[in-house]
Amino acid sequence: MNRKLILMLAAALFGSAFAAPVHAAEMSEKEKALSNPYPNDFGPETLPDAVIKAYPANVQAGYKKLISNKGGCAQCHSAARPLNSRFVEPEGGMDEKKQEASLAALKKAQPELFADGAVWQIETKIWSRYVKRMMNKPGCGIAKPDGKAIYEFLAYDALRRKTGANAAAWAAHRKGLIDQLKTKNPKRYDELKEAKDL
Amino acid sequence: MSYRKAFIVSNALMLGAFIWAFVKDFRAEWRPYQAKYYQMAGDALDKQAAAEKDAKKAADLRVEAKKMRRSPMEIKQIIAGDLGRFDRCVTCHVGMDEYTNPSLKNDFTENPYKSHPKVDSALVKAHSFTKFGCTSCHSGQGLATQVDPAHGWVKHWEKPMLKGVTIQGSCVKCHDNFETLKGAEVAAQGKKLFNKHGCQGCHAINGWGGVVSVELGDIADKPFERIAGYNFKKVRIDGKELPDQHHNSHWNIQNWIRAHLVNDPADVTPNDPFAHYNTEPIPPSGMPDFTKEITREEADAIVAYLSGQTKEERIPHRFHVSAPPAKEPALSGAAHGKYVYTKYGCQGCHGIDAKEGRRRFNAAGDGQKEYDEKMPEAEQLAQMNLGAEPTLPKLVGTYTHDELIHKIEAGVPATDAKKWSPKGPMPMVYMPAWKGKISKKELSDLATWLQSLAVKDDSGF
Repeated sequence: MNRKLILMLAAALFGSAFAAPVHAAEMSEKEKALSNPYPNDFGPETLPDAVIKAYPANVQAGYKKLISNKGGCAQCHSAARPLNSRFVEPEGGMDEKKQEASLAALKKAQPELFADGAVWQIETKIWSRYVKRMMNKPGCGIAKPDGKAIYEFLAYDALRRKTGANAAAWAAHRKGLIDQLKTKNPKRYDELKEAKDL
Repeated sequence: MSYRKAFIVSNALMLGAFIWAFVKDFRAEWRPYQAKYYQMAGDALDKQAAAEKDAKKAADLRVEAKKMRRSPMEIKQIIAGDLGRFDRCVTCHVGMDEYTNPSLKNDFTENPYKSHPKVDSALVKAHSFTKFGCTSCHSGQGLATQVDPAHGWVKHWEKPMLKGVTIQGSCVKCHDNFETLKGAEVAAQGKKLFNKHGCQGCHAINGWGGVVSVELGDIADKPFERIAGYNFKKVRIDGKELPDQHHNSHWNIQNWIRAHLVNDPADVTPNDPFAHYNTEPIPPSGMPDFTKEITREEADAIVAYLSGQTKEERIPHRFHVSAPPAKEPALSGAAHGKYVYTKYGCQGCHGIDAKEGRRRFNAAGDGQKEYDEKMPEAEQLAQMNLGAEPTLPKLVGTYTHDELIHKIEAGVPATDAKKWSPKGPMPMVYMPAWKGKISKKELSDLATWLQSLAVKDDSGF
């Protein structure tokens, strides 16, 4: 018998001792982000072509940068995170006063958008802040023009897909994602709920 | 061998042992010091007698001088039982023995003959030698009667005599809130500097401070078995390697603390960032390099303060003297926020006045080359050293006031860091969650101050 078996055992034992040291498995930035998921992460990582094609060229360029694994947002986290986010920035471009006026108008026109902060979080400059914050993360490497393009896409897209006539469809989609998090990772759901960060 | 012969030989051996013991004791190191002291003290009395005009007094002084010269050679000791001290220092330092020299004063200028300095000062009067002994304040090995062992300059004696200003560390052992205590000015400056440079952001003392690195409430008791000689050999004080001929006389806890302030701690404790000797890479010390911020004198002051952080010594409660803690300044808004930033030691990682984040080994950051595993190790090391904690003015403008408060409350785990070298060690330093540690008012003012520092946004969006 058992010579073969003994040889195999010996090889297994001594082989492991002489093997080169193996470093513990390292998590990539994406894996790290997914280990602390948000409801957003359960949604799609891309938008339908029909939606994108209807956007202006500069906005489409921002979208491409966002979903890129090389030098875009998707290098560190899934593109699903911004695409399925509850954030909406009011219209008004770079002018905060115009954004404030748009916000006031939106409150009057669609008060239901302000009823559930887990579905819509509408704030002036919210995408501007977040994109800049991500750009400041060590090792992010997104250049300012690319950051601006990403911001323009996020601001434009959020208004189109989450408000106006699309508000009900967005609410259903967003609530579905929250339910998925609650079912699949109840601990994280509770954590985010307590931190008011759903 | 017959019994008779065995008896004779053993008697001879015993006699030899007695003679050897007698000779050894007769030649004990302390005897010449004590004999010389008696001689010097006798001569001083004779001198006084010669100058004395009153004949009776002069005669008495001469008798006293004679007695002094004939004083018995003996081991003298102070038994300060409350503090567990049995100090034989006065066997050589006879001028400080109140039985031989009741006035505790003399005109001698050299050790071990001279009297204790400033015996009339309030400080010495408040710490009578009979109650406190010698080593309670000076450290060293009280029971020893040879020069090197008594001063603790021998292997395995971990608390050698405190030199220079570090002796003020002993004040800290009993005096809480000693900031205004006369005689402890250097230790008080050390405490101030400790807090000014943000050491308390990572190191707690007696439970107050950060949890990122070791608690320093008992740092003076750190056993040397936990400090490798390899690391001591990397220490440079005033640019020089520490001599180890007396081992602990230079390889002591004071120099170990000092080494972290006058050297880059990453040079003293380089560890194994390329996993040459371990299965996982181990980063160098995570402590920032303070060599450009802290002078040698300031380092000594911090050493004095930390030398008093001991739990090993059983000091009865009745020996503790506590002054009331200093009052918080009456500030509000951004000015208060700046005070809060310093109070909690944020500058330990984010720099004084939040000007620049300090080193965070192997964190990805600005100014680094792209990682290439073929890069020579020295170059990789240099790149890993460029990793830094966030420079807050660049970042705080991307947060609202509430978001910033939430961020500080939640902290940032070490695993959030992006590594520069994927094969290198995980960046060690992290931001603890401050929720519940910093009050709401303090947090709000801190966020206000931080946001006042935000750099002008030139991103164009």
